[in-house]
Amino acid sequence: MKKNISNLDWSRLLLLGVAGISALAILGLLAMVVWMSLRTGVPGQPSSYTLKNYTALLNDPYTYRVMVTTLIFSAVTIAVSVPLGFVFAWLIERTDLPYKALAMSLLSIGILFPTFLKAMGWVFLLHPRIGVINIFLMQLFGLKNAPLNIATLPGIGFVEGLTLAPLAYVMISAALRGMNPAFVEAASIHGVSKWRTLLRVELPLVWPALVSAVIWMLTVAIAAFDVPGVIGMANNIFTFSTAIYFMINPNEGLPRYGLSGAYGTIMVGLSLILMFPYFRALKQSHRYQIISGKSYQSRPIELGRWWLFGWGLLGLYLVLAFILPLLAIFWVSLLPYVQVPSRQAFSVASFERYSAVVFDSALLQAAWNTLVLMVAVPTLIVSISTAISWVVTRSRMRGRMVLDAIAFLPHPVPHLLFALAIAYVALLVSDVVPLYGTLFVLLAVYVICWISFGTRVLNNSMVQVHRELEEAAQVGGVPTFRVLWKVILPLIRPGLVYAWIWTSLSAYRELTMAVFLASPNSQLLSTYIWGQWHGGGLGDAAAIAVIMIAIMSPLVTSFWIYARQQQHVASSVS
Amino acid sequence: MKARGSGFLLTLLLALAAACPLSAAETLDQLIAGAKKEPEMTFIAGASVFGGPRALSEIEAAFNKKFSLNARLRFAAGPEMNAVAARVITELRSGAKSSTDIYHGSQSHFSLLHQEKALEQVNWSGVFPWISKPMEIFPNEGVLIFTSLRGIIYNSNLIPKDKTPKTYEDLVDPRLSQAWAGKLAIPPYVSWLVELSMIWNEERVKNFTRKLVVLSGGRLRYGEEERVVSGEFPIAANMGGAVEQMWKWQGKGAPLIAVTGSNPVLPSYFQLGVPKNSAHPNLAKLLAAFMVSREGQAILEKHESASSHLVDGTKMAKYLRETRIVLQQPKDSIAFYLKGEEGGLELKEELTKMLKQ
Repeated sequence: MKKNISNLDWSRLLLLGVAGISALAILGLLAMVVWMSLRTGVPGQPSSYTLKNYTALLNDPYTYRVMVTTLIFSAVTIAVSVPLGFVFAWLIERTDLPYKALAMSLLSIGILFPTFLKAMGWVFLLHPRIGVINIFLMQLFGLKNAPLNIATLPGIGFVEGLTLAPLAYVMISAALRGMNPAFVEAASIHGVSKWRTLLRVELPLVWPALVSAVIWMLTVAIAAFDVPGVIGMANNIFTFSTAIYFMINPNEGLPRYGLSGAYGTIMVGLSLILMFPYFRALKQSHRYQIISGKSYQSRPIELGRWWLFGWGLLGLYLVLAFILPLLAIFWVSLLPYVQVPSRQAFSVASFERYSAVVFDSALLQAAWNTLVLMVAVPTLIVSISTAISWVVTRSRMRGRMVLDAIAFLPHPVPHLLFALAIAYVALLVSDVVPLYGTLFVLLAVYVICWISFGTRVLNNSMVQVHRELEEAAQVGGVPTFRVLWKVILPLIRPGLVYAWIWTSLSAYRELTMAVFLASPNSQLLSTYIWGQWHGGGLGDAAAIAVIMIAIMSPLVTSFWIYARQQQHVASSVS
Repeated sequence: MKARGSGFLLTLLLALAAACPLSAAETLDQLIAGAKKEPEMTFIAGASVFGGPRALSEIEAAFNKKFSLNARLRFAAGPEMNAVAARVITELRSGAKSSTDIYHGSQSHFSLLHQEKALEQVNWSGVFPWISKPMEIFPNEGVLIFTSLRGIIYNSNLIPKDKTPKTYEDLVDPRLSQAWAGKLAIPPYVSWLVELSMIWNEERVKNFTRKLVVLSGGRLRYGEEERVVSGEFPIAANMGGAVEQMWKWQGKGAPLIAVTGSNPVLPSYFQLGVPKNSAHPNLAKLLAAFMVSREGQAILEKHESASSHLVDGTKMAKYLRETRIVLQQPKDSIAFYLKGEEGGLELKEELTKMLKQ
């Protein structure tokens, strides 16, 4: 017996334990959403199990309005992001467009800038009454009414679509890169034109990848809070996420956790259903890929003078998606109140708001909290994901694929539901474990939600390491943890670094989960700006946003350059 | 005999405690001594409360000076007042400490907290010499910080002079409303409409709301008047502190006009109170009392153009005296709210449904 215990590989048990606890946390929080939906009142209050919340939900016309609004918003988001993503991916992967690396970097960095800041910028650009572009167009053409309106459902979908286009690009470019070029070569030999080849050969070949991108964008749009929150709420446009926000932060009466749980359960169900066609499309996409190992590359399509058009499109996108919104935010930050550019407005522009920021110790605290999360979250994610990926790809444990599926679950399920569930749990146990309102709660939910990303990256990396190395070490009696530390981890270092950097930057830009959980002790830069915006302090929100971008841009850029050096960007995200 | 004596003493103490449920620390010195053990306090409110970060930093300095303290006032911009009240109640019921040590809200929010017994009982006028009984809008719970005259606000560059509204009903008058049809901002709350039923009847309020919703182009919370100043919305049907906001923004050269909309005027009595589950109750009580003092009122006036009409010499006191504006009395408003939760729920629900459209 004693011998048996001493023979136990404790490090193996530790890895299994970490993986198991993480899986339980994911399942536990999802179960909490369903449990919440079957109860009434606030956490800690006695309640019997009931279906009242579902009855209330289904009998309220508002629910159906929110549902229709969310679907239209999602449809516009997809209609903007996927075609843009496809065109960019095609230009970069299949043509001889010059300065491709620059184009890839510019698009990829775009993913990392907080979406809600861009949404703020678009209010100042395309609002029918204060939008600078609208006013310019009205003056130019002598129009009485603004020709464009961002404060509409299509407008909100357009902004969300613009911000998601780089993600669509990353997803589709991987498929284009892996596509069997023999078909394209055959079309070319038979004299089929470039455009006909694109439409009749390449597009059908990447069709499954496009379908999976569409489904992915749909799940992202259903859960999106940033753009609907910043532009939609003031204009009486509510999607699922903003409707849930108001159930927890009501304008009248007490929070309705039960009702939000019912909404959440429906969202979980919808997201899981959407995963079936998603995986089917992914599975099909592999059928069209070249056999790995063959270094078979097709000749890129020559654009000729059309490269100018390609770069023109990319340039226009970058101007619309980043440069103009950020300039608009900067302009507003200089004014005592929001005004369109004019001689009078220029005369009152100053940096006064920036000097006011130094009085605000809460802002410094928010910046510190953000930095803490930017270090702690990725470190924990990489550690936990390593344990899970090791179990899934290196162990021969039965049921390891179930563990992999559980680790993937937070990917399709809207993250705000995890935030809601963890807030509920923290409140329930607050008199025993005082976690409610602390940074730890945010840390926990970020880690749980992004484990799916960590495990995707590390699964891909670990399967590429041949078992022989590991087996040789084990034959020599080296414990599992030492094998992992000395053999596997050094070999998968690029994957680890990439996962660390990506999740660190995600912690920096995250708003959706933070807005449900942040308290005075756990304010982040994103929630701080949201608080200012939501409270009517548009100029202050803009000034802090500019500071946030100015401080974080060098960090984001250097992180990104390093990640690109690790050659892991596209393959990991897809 | 000794046992009997101590039993009697215990009974006497219990009887006294039952008769006097106010907080144990009843003198100013005791409060200050207690506050010295509390290094900081947290305050969650709207982003621009009391004038924003710069004003709060001035408040912190003056507050510490007044009571010889060295405490840190940690401010966090949070959701609007009802959501913060809801959070306080949720935390209290869950057995958690309150996220905010001090609560800032108007009579409707204090009614909710009062009904949920979420506020600590404090003998404000007994402890602080500069606080009078009428300043305790919710006796022993909330103390008046500033009187806010609600009303219509509009951007004078965007609403033609001959179309400007004078009363709430002008907002739905077809002869005027073309100027703001589809662009009118209305608050996402129903409390101001519910309060209108104190001076109108319920049916009139419902009819008014139906017409208002048709004309609306969006929802603006109290404190978001900058969106009217900017022209994003040319007019807002109701804004908390409309008159003070007009003073404040006109001081910056902004084209903002306020109209009180009804007679008597329906004011928001903005108060501070201390949640029962406050982690730093002594600092919280002192801060509430400080804000009523002349020093506190001066900072409020400087940064927010707001003040209490019950503190002598304030701008609001002078304005009310000069204009002879009649205010809806706090006691009537409170009685309405406390009764309303039982009797007026139907109206509230109906109005909420209308606003969702």
